[in-house]
Amino acid sequence: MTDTFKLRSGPSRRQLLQGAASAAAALTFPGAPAIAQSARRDMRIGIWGGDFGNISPVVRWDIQAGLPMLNIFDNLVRIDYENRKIIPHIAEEWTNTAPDVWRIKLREGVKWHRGFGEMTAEDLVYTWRYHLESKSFQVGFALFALDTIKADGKYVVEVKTKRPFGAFPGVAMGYGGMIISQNAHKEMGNQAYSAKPIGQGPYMVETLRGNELELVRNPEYWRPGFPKLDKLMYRAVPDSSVRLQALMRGELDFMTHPESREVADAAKNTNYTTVRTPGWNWDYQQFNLKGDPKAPFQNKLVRQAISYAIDREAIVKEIYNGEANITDNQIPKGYLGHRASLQRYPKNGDLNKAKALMAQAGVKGYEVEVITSDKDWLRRELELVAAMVSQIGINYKIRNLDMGGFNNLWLNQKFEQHLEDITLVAPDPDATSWWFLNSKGSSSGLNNPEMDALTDSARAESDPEKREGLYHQIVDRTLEDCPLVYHCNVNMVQIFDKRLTGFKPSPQEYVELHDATTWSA
Amino acid sequence: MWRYVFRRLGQIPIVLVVVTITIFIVVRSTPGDPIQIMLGMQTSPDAVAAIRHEFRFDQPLYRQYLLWLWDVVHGDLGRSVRLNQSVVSLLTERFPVSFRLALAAMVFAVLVSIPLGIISALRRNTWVDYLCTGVTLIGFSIPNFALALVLIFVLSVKLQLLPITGIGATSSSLWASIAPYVLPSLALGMLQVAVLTRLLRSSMIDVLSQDYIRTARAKGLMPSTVLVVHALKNALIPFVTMIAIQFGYLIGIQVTIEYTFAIPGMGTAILNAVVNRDFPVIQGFTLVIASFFLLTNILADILYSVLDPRIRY
Repeated sequence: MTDTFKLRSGPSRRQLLQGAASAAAALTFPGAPAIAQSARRDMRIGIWGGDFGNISPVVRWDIQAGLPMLNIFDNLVRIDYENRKIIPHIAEEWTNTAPDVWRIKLREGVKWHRGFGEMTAEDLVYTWRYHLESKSFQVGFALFALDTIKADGKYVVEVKTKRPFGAFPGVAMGYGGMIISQNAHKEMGNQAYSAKPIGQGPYMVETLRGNELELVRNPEYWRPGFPKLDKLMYRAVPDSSVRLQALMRGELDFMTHPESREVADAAKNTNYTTVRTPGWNWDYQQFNLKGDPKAPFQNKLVRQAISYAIDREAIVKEIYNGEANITDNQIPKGYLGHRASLQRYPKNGDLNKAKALMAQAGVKGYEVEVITSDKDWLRRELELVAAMVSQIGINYKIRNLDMGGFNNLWLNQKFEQHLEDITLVAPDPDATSWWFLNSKGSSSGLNNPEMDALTDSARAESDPEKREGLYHQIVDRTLEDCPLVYHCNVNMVQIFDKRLTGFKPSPQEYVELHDATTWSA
Repeated sequence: MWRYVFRRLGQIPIVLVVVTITIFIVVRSTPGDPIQIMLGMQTSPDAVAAIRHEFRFDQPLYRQYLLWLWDVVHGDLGRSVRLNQSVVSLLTERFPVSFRLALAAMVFAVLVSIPLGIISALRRNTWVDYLCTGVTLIGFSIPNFALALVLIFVLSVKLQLLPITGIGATSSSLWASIAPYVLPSLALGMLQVAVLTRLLRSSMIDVLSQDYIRTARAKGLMPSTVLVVHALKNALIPFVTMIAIQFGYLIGIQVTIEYTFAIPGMGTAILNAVVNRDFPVIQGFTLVIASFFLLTNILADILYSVLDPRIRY
């Protein structure tokens, strides 16, 4: 009898211990289905933030949720960034039949994920009405102009706006243009839909677990040949250095939002592609002109002096390691109305001019509290700016706040002056100006009838050429009044495995489309 | 003893009420409105008012607390303002991750601290002792996030031995599930290594100087028998109770480690909740962490009594 057939009364103590250890490990660290690494039909994407938050368009979502969302939901329109045009996507065409009436023709044959049928006009009507009825955040940002919405047949929607709204294609159809499935939303309920939404985009949600979101190819996608990959794995990795190291180790294939100091080194690594795009964002200072009427900065000459005292090139070099573009105005490259980035204020500033303006204003020097949030680069930027303005006698008392504390003071206009960065969400210059410069704008401290008339006209006008002219005037007026002082537009940067092809970057922070991204042969 | 245990268990609700009232007042007195933060600047006052009403933030503070407490008693910890998800489901998702990480860190700490504590006690005031206590000094003095970065650089980037991220992710094998826990466990458990090693060292020194150890040696017992059966068994009593206390502590201190290693645990959830002033999440998670800490402390007391028959409550 060989050992193989020896009868034993039971397992040995060692076997028991091994078995117990394996069972405990299996229970404690449950395994899950494998990711097919060898086939390379998948891509692992590292994004910023600790989690995704909501991934439903009808509930308030964060930038990090937008990155996957626009691969789950096709927008009504897309943007041709090179030609500065809003182009059809699931909205095939749109017409402005009266100054306050828009007719949108939806593309036929677009299917909702997981058998929820064809997308129709009723879905668009349901989505926008849901926003209005639930008073969602999108009403404030994008859909504020909507008055009535009705379907006209299976694929046409007619929208009446409260007043003529020329920015409708960019603002309402662009930023507010992610549509939900009426049937799925009603069947699943709002909360379940937020966790596993039914879209009509190139990818479908498979799982959302903590900081990982798995999307799989939509087999019924309406654009033949797209998407190119079978699976996208998003992982939220909050620390940028860790995200980059995980990429370099092969734990990720694609990463967003590297810190600017890491970009130059990463760009030298020939195994990776580094893409930089001037972003639709600002680093800027804002004066609370609705605050203390005796504050020296209420005088526009003082504000102009501050803008002249700023060495924008030094900010870009020192704070952003060159990963930003100098600007003195609110309309970044790629927006309707953009001209050159510097219109009035020199890139290195002009201290003599600044001092002359202070003298002209009759202000010798003063102290002011300037708030900023807890972003490391903004703290450093504010210290640098404080040193710059100290040369014209202004003493910035810096107050750092956590994001919640900053937002509280900023949104309630309980500050004297602040320095912050902001991402511009809607692809229309209205988003760069109206909210910050019109006296009715929620983030505006300005009360200038001329500016009100200009921003209202530009918002109402639908002729792009006329709008462009109006925005040039708005920028000129802004540079004269200086209610905000703009420093730079920070680059959007992605770093990814060099074997990945087809990715088209965007200046919009939350837009990273991967329908065409694939592995080269 | 059971009377003592029941008395301690009976104290838990009182402690939790005090803790939750404190948290309730502190988070609400922090500047920042969760609804305003969530909805942003371009929103109407109507929208803010509607959602504030939905979350009862428009009610007096005492009433908000009482309503929350009533819901808690009925198993409802509320709904996250930012995540549109119930706090209970968020906890169900996050607590096991934090628990596993704390467990892994404690296993590492125990495995390292027992030999270090014994060796440094046996070789007291020699270079071996100084080396062991030097290791504990590192554990005490290096913040865990700094140690985490060093470990990432050495073990992941340079030596390519271990993954940096991956906890909570899909994985292909048992090792692929365990591997992402190694670096965070080392970084998180180093402080516990220091605490436990020092404790065991002093406990062993104390025990080794007792008369019964001298008697055991005089009886001619093997040194290993004296060490393991007579000395270590008694020296481990405070050690084991300290493990229970430290385990409760580990659940609450993972924030920086979770942030560094992209771990979807309770720490990152609380961090995001604090930044966004997501009151229901802060309150719910604090309640669970406090309860866990209290329970592990009671467990430590019970263990103490079980391991040392001389102790009676």
